[in-house]
Amino acid sequence: MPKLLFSSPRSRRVLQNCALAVLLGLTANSASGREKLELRHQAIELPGPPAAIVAADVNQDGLQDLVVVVVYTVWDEIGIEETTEMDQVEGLVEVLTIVPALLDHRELFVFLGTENGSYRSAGRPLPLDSSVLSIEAGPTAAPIVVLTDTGISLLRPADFEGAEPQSQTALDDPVDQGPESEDSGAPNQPTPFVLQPHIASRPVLAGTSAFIPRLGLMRDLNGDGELDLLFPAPHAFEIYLTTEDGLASTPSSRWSLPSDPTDASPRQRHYPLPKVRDTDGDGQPELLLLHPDRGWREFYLAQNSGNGQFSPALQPLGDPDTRNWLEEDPPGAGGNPGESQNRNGSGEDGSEESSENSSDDSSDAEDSFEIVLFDDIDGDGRAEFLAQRQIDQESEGMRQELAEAKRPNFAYRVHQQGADKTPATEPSLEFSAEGYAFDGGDEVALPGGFQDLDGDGDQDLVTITLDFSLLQAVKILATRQIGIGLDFHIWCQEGSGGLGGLGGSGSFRRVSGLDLSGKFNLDLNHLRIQQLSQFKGDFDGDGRQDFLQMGRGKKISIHRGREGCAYPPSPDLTLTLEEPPRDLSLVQVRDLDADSLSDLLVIHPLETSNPGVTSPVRLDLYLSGGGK
Amino acid sequence: MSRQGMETKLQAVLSAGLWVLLWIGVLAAPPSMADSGEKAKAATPSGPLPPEVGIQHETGEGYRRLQAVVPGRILSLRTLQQPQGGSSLLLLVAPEGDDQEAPRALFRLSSSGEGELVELSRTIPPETTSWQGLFAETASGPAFLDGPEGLSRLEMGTGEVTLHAVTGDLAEGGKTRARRALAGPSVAAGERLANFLPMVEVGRLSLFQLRDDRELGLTREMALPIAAQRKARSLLLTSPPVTELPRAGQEPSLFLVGPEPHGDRRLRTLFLDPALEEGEGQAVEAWSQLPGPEAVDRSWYAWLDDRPVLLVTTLRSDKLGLLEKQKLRLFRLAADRTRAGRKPTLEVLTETRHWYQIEPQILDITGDGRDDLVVIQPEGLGAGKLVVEAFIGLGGGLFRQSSRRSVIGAEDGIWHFGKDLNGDGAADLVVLAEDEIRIFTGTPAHQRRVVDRKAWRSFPLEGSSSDRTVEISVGMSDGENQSEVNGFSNTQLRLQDTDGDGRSEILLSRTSQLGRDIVQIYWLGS
Repeated sequence: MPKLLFSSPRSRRVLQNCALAVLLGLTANSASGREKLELRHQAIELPGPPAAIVAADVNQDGLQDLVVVVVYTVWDEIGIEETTEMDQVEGLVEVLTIVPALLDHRELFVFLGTENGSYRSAGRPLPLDSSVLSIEAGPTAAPIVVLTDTGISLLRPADFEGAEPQSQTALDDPVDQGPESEDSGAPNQPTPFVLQPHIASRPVLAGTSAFIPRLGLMRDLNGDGELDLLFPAPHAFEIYLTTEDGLASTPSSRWSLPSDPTDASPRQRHYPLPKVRDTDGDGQPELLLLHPDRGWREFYLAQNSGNGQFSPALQPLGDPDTRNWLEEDPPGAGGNPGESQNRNGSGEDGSEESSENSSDDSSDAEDSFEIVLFDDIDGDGRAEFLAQRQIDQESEGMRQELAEAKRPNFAYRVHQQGADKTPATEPSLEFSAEGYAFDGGDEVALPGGFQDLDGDGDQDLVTITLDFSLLQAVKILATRQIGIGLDFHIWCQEGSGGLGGLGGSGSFRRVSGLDLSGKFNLDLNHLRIQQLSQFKGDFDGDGRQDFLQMGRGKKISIHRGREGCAYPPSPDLTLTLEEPPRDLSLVQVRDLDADSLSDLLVIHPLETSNPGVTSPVRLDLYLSGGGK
Repeated sequence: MSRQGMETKLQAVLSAGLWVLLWIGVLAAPPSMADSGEKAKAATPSGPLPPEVGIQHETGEGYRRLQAVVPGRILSLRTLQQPQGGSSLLLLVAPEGDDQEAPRALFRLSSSGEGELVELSRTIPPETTSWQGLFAETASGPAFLDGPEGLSRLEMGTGEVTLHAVTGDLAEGGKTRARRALAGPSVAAGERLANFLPMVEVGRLSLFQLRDDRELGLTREMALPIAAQRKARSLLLTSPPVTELPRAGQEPSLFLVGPEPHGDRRLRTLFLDPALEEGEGQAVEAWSQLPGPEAVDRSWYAWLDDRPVLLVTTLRSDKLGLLEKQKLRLFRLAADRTRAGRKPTLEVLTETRHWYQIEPQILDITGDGRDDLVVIQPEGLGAGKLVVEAFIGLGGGLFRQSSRRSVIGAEDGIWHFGKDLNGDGAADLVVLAEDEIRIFTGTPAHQRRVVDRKAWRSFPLEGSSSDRTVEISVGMSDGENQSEVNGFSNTQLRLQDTDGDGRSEILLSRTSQLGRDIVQIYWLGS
């Protein structure tokens, strides 16, 4: 049950550690002469891992609240009524059997924001049954939107005018009632919030009993700044716009999905989760559906026609079997690492270190470029196609293969989109860069790729190189652990007016003097990805992405972004956790209190001695507050 | 952590690990991996001509062989029982050449007398790739040939057998996915002639039957659980595998759905019983409890002493063991309202590393009327040996504490256990390894061994010497991965009484690199 540990001994110890860490951070910071970062700590205990954490002003008091859905398994009891015959008793007898059973529980906790920036429990959690599938923050008038088997419900205060609680909550079903605690209110007290049915439509997830957070249901689909609903019906997206009257309960349109990609088995189906972004600069976002396996190499685009309408899907890259514009290797392709060349402009060497990294262009002409991104890279409002190809060197044995595996070089081409949404045949820019940017599996994406690091509206390239030795790799067989060194490299985009699309002079400059190396720990004994650093969050509100260093054990440090994509080697703030994060997914960067400053959230599983039962967790919140 | 979560982590760890390990080539691929179909395709012998289509006979020491060469690639092979005993074979064949759009052909191979290879049809739609749940009656009845094509009726008109190809939308509306369902291995009907034609799609099991008007009709639909998982670009909706367990007599088969992992300790199985009317407890849950945190690798449902059981091979889910051996668990299945799960009645640490497959079989090898469990386990890093381990049943799904065991040399071959080939009443083992067929006879019930260590018979496989090609793969392992292909790949072995004399023959279906596949039937001398 939720416990606010603001004043517990453990909390004090954590706070002491934090204070010490902050002090250290301040010391380091003072040298740079920058304003200080400060995070406040609050801990919340939960009966199980949070399946979803949503920040929203639930009670509409102007303060951001936290809504947490917890999914956990505990021993409970079920009662079974049976009719049976008994000796010496005439006729049939009704027997009620109480059977202990392992039951899955879902509960929705609300923590109300307070004036001093902390959270307090709103009272008894709302039991949810398995028909609740997801929750997300909604528009102002409907702060929490809940996807259920029967459509959309809204989370409302129990005393909300016109509230008609849904009978599906487990309050009506003793089987699903979770354990109670003194902090969560007496069991017979009503919950302070209820679910109110709002839209009746069956989603594709109906009947799965799955709870899946971050489905991306709520998006601004008409560019008015309010979140609208993209409802996942079985064979179409239904679009519900938010108007002055709130979230509409009837769809403004239904957009039929293109045919499903062929699945390997009839027992499985991929349902696309669209990307929603403006690709043509008209302020209205398009829907982009990527192939589940081939990604950007095969995607659909649906143009926004306004008023919640979308045109039929088209494939900008055409039939993947017939297109050939990427196959050829135009003259001049595959420039030296670190070098960018503007095909429409004069062509400038944007790298200070190009000579250092230059090598003979012995790229394998058989390898073709592959589209790895369709996004507005240069900040002109229109999306460009980015194609990538690895530059393979002539193999000179294992040593070189090892070196290439650790520090590969990739050639990139930027193609402008034409009026028909297809990529221009000739690239408008070519450049190359060292390190991985668009690799990684389906589950764990590498923290590389394009991001606007310096807040100037165009995107910068982050690449990653690895560092490990052959001996380390062999040792993994014995020690079952390997620490792979990760180093981050930044190519900062400079210039304006687009990447040569309209005669601009955009180019990429490699940022020197970075020391953001860390370790990516692979522990075969625990099967967890630990400590992957990333550029994520803006902790000081300067519009630039900060760097979260998680490659150094218990310490999590924040390096604030500087002008020109620069990051200081010394951190601006270091937090010392009680133990290193056990899992990559247990550390999240979010703006929980809606102050436009990022907050840090660390989930600590606590020990349990009862097998089969879910471990309780402690939620450590590190909230922005002192800010700048 | 949930099983899905663990799978996700495992995939992530593996992909990340492979990132490192494969680049530097520390892990050489195990030999079985090296001998892939891709490599077999790559080796294109330039010299030998393809064998002539038709039937040939050969007699060797202790055996007689019929070899049928078909004009193309065998996609599927099914047995049709003959009314007078014995069986003939139905072969679905893709014609020679690279034309993927060419219609398939259907052949019947009869082994009686001199043997006969008859083309029944050459107009089967090219999308037809496999059969499941062949529904057949000989002479007077119909048979279903189910392929991914639709409901157009295929009258073979031989007077002996009538075949229906299941094509098109089987019912009104929303059935387009059902067509694909036929292509996947989602329902394991085994060799039995099914009384239903089952089709599986996400969230639904549909059962089709022949109606009185001899047309195919949907007789029952049953809901399947759906698991949802968020992937990077999509939601993945999956229903668990469905296994058909035939029942004795005229009772319809029982369908078992699962096993579905719940966390890393529990497995859920759903019983779907078409014999019950809707609302009569048609779907019942059974739960199984693993001894520790384990992830299921493979699973089987079977009858054991007339009760349904679940067999699983597992690996540890909390640690990744590079050389880990598989564990075998056997669970009795029964309704479990506590959802805690029954513990296994048998727990075995096998001799098989996780990259090879073990094969459990339930059969009565002692002749005492009680089912026994025989587990065939490739042993060693290169599977150079085969462990045949028998757990003797005590009835009621229980086993003796000690097992019987034999270890034989097998050199990564394929095998079949369970049929009596020498007529002594004991189940024998047939192994294909090192270009030979070897037969190891079963031992009497009182012996410690399951089969004799020394082969009773062995004879060479066709093409083992004259047209052998040697392929050496050159890659990161610098020639360590070496495999031999003797002109054929993808050999399938089964034992079948083709002539109705009560003794099984050895039946091989072999894919030829020369474009014409062969079927070989071996009769053993006494």
